[in-house]
Amino acid sequence: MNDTGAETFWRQRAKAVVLRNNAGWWLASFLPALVLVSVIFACALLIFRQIEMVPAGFWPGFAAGVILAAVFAWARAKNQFFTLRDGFTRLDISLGLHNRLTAAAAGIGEFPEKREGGDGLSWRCTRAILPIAGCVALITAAAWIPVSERTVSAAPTAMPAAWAQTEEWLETLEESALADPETVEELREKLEALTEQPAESWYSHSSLEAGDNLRDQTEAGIEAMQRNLETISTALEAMQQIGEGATPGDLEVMQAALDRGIEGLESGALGADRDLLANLKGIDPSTMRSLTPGQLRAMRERMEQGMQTLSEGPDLAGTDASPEGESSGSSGGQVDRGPGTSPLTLSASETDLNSETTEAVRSNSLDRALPGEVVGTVQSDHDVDSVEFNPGLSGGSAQAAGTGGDTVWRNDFTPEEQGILKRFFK
Amino acid sequence: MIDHATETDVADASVKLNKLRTTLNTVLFGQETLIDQVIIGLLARGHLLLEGLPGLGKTELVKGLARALHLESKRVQFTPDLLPGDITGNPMLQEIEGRRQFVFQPGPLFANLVLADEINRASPKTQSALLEAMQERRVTVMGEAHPLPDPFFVLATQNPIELEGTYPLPEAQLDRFLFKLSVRRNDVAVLEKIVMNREIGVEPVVNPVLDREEFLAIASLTLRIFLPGVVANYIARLVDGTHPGASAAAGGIKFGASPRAALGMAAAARARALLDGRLNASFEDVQAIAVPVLQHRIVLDYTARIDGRSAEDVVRAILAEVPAQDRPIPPTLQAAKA
Repeated sequence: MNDTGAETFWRQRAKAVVLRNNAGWWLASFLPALVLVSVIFACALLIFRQIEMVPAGFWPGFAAGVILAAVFAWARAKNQFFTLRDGFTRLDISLGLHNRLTAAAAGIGEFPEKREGGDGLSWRCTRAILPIAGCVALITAAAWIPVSERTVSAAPTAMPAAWAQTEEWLETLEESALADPETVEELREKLEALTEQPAESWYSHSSLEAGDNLRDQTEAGIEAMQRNLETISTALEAMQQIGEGATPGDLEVMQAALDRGIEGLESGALGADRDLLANLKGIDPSTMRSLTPGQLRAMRERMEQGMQTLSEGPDLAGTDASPEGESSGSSGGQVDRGPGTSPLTLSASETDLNSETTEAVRSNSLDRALPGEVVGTVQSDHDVDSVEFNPGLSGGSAQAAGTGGDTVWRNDFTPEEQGILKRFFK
Repeated sequence: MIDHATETDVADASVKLNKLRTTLNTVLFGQETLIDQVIIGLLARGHLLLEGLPGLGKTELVKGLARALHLESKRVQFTPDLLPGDITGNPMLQEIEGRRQFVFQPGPLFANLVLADEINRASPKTQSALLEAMQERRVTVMGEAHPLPDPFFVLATQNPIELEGTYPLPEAQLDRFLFKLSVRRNDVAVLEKIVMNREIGVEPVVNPVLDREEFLAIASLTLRIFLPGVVANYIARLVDGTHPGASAAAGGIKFGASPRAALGMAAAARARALLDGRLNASFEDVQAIAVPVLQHRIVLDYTARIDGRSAEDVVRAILAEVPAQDRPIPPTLQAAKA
């Protein structure tokens, strides 16, 4: 080996060829993976931007995805990588060296003189550059194009009527200071749990059912409380009227009525204020002489005031209040009730019902049946041909005996053979 | 460990072979490629099948070759009534020292260069008598084997027209021929040169260029030409590509080439490298000898025949389809525009 300079030169050239081809193979595997990663992250970015919640780790995650794709591509392309021998061969072919480099690398003959010229290959821009540019453009577009925030255009503005009614009653109960505050607080927490839901879910079936149940529970409690207060008030009024002339029988009746009212208050769904209960339990018709008429009157007035508050405040008969047409539509309070049917108005923009489900439209009129709809069914027996099928053929037998002049044999050509024959006879 | 040829050996041989090439070019005008292929075939120790119309100089080439190499040559005109013994030789009953015994009389096969003219006119029996001679380089008569002289080459000719009354060579015998060479007609300029320099019935004077020993030395040097692994791989892929399903171009092939074809390609590639004065065979050598080595070893199906494709067309299509380098180029790279 005389010319070590030539050998060094060609070895460097071969290494460059190897590097470029290996980079080409790696790119060929990497680019599809990069496009896939870019599309996934671009879609994710658009979604995050729409809900205004781009996570802090998004871009590091994207970088990690690209690195993973690069490693995957390297592992996949590794089998195709060029060796130094392949580099020499490539140079032999492109420079027309008659495999002199390959032979010289194997120790046969000397390396040829230095010669300029590449490996006869160039980058294919459409395969190598465009996908990268496309991915950059995709991610940039996903990051910069204006995205409108997702709006809930048809979110209800008013809560269901039952909820509003319940809230009104709870306020009244708090003002009257008749019910047990803990019970009222418990009911309020239940109501708040309903109202804290997204407005889109207010009119869901489960929410409305829960609200109705809460309202019924509150209504029943108020009605019971009214009755008990009335009982107590009546007993107090009787005590005031009879005064000191009450017989033991009268006292017993009054005591029973008073006890019934107090017990009702105590065991009612809404409970009773502890002070009120204590005062009422302190009344003893047998010792009513110890109460001054003023005290009796004050207690009776409080009972009446409470009754008035309960009867004036809560509109027990007004539970049909229907904001946004609730229960005024065709559903009529059934399980599928809601805001009702959409108003049939002529408008430039369609009515957004905020519905994400698609429902089939079914025609009940057979006169207007569409193609494909079942308009009727008929039950009948199968029409079976009872005659046994006998093809009269067996393997290798003639399909048709034929008579003189008949074509009894036919050759089916494949499309490829037909093409050849057509070309031949053209 | 093969003792590969040195640059000095190759240079000396190349000088002598170039003299042979020049001499033959004075015998046969305008057939440079054919002459190169014939020399390559002889260096690779292969038998040659020459196909061409009458009068194109096939016999003249063989005669000139025999004289230039100073080798014994014989010519056999094959006819349907030619018997195997007519070419291999027959035992003759002779009286020697008062006793009658059979003495083997060698036939025309016992020569260094045998010109088998119109080989396809002989009966299959006679054709097959050539099989042993071509492959084993010996003939067996009455249980006794007689070695043929070294070197031994059969240069057979056949006429592509007038096929009535001929017996096409079977595939097994075709496979024994290293090359099938097509002798093309000459153009006007060459014809003019022939008319000016030749007289009908007068053979050109050819001086010996090499003697038998020199030729054998050069032929043995051919075996010492380096065949790189990538070139051997290319030969293997080309031969494999001749089999149906192995390549798209092999769509019209019924039967592909044999491993003997691969060996023949390797030997011919080495010979071409030596003729070109190189120490190693190359992809270009393989591509240059692929058609003469493969075209008579593949059997086309009827679709290719109806489509008008010849075996040469199919081999060229395979050459175009099978890349020289086994490692493919990545799709992100392309051949640079010149």
